[in-house]
Amino acid sequence: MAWNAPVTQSVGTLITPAIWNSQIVENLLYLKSPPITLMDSLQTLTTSSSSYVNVFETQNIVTAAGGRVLLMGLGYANHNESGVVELHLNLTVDGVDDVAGSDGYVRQYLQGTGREPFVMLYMSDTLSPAMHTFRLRAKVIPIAGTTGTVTITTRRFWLMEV
Amino acid sequence: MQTLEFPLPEAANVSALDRAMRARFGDRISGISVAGDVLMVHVLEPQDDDEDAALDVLAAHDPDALTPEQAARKTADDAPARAAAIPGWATWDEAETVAWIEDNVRDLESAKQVLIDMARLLVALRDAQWPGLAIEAERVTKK
Repeated sequence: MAWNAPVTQSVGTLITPAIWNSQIVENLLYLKSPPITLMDSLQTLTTSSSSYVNVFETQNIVTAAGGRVLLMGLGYANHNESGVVELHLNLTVDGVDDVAGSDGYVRQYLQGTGREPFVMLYMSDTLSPAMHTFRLRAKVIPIAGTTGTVTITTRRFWLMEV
Repeated sequence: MQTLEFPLPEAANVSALDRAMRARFGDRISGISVAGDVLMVHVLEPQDDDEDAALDVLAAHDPDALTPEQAARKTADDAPARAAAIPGWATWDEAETVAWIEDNVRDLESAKQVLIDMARLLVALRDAQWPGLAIEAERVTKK
């Protein structure tokens, strides 16, 4: 259901069925059920890359109103060896890689063979009504010479137009 | 960055593969990734023979060969069983330990046996407490 830009009415304007349906019915339906992309049980990624790589393949949302997109990703990460590494999580939005810069939106120390949860919340700038592409990305930075792989399990990833 | 993709061997030790790829490519790769049954090698400075080089590493891969870190973790995991196998030391309290030494240490040979048991316990404790200590010591020595 598309969003229709609200029109200011003047005194004496006749509210026709077309205006009512477009301005009231369709917009209420849009507000109740905005475009959403909801993913769960996503494939895990094991990586040792010190440069950002895709955690999973492209996720798209078709926005209808030219609004912002609220993103949430949550899951956990395992360091598979002893020592300490730092996990960085970042985003690609519409082909622009690593929008949070080198440090990423989430930085997580992983110690020993431990498991740590992560949550990422992100709100985009205003996007045009079209299909938009988001990707979660990760890199692993060794601390004090420690190398090793990290397994990232994303349990939920969703996008919602707001 | 160029990402080369290969089928992941059925029995793969991803950490060991990472170590082997780094040994082969040096700083030209940022690392490797595995998603499902696909192995990705992330090459920062691509060269023509990179695919062949990665295939060489895959062909030589032994999934049973542990990295030093994996071997240290296995040793740490085994430590409680090794400590439990030292007669008496898993269950004695302080008084029982002192009493046992007073009753049994009579000469150099019996003292040596107690020292050996204590050394075994110390090594098990060290392995459990600091599984990466030997790797760290080697790194410091190299510096």
